[in-house]
Amino acid sequence: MWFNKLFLVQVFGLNKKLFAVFCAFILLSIYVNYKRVETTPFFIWAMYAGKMQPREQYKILTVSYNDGKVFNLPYTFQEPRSMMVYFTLNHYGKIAANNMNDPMEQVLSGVLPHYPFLRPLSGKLVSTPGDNARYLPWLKTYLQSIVGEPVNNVTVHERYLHFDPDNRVSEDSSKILYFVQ
Amino acid sequence: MQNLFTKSYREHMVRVVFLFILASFVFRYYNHVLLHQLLQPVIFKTDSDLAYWLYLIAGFGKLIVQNHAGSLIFDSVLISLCLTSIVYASQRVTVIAFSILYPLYFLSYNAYVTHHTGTMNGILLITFAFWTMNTSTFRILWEALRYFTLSIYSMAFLWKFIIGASVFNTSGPEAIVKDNLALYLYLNPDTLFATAMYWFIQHPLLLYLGYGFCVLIQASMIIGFFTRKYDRLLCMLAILFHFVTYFFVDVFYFELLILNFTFIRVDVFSRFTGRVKKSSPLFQKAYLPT
Repeated sequence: MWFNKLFLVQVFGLNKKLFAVFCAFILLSIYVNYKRVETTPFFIWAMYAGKMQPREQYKILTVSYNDGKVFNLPYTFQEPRSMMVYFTLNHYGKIAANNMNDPMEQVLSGVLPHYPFLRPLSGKLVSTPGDNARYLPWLKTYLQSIVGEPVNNVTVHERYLHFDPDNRVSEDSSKILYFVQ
Repeated sequence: MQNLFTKSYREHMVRVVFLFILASFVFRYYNHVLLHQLLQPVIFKTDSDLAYWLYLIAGFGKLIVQNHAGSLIFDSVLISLCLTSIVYASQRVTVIAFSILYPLYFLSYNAYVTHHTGTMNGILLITFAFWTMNTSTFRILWEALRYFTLSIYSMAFLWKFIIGASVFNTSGPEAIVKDNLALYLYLNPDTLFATAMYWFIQHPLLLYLGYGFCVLIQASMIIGFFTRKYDRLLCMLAILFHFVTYFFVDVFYFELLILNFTFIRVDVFSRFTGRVKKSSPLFQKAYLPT
């Protein structure tokens, strides 16, 4: 019978504990996808599933060091270190926009009233203003280790770009966002 | 039915999988993202993921990321466990220890890069299959991993086709490419790759067709839930999918391909290892007694 050939049915016959583990894994994976709140190791595979539209203007951050040397990682296989620079810069931008407080504090303020036992532990879930203030010096040190030469200063620019009618990139405006010496 | 999942097959798979993991560590070393290379980062991101909450509440962040000695010791232990598992593939102590420690690397990198990447998800789960020495339990776990692999692409398809319905948005692929490549095109406007990308951006219909093809690849994985006949094809399609996204979406997801080992049929793999042993006595000698 086709039913007996099903993987989970076979597992039920061979190993009840594993059957329970697999069922729990499947149910929790469905639950996190339904709730849209990922909890490792129950993942949501929804990359680029949202409806995106081309924008008029694109905001990018560029990093330069030692008075104008451009930090450029042109290859996708350099992604992990590129993320360590650009993603942390984006996150730091959100912290800076929130008066140097971790935006996670706002998430926790909505959660803690429901789970008061978490209150004493909540301090461990957010970076402190002291940590946040040490971010830019850390960035300079990390950049030095990536580029393999002494870095005396780092400048982060915020740039606004648009795609021309021939779809080449043109800069509309830029400003210095951070400068670390 | 004859169980082809013998102890020798398990050992071969342990070696192959941990060699792949070792390659992942070399790749991460090159990219300066092993924990001791992060140089004690200070900001992190947890989102609402409870695993990250537990990780930080337990103090692992302070112990193995924000402490230089701690990060150095952690990296050394993790890579040593990986190497030991390759050399002594017939035991499970180092494999179990690795499976317990790797999630700490996974959570550390993702928390401190302030983005929860999915590229290491395969490594996170695959080594759990080697916790058992019992061949029939190993077979169940290995097959479960195959279904997990299929579910990754199938879920991605369902999200794009039904939940997010992005596949019906014709301007979406152009938006994705522009979003991901704006920085690259600004910094490298005159490369051959940039020229190719300008051409593609000028032909958004082609980008949409390419996106549709990728979604179709993801959809095709559903076939694997019903038959193993096309596993070889599905394996190739998964590789092709990550090659396409590497160039057009600027994401490096090759570490996830570790799960592709679950597509390789046992008899095919055993035939291959048998042939290698026969044709290369040197390789045979390199095998340590188990």
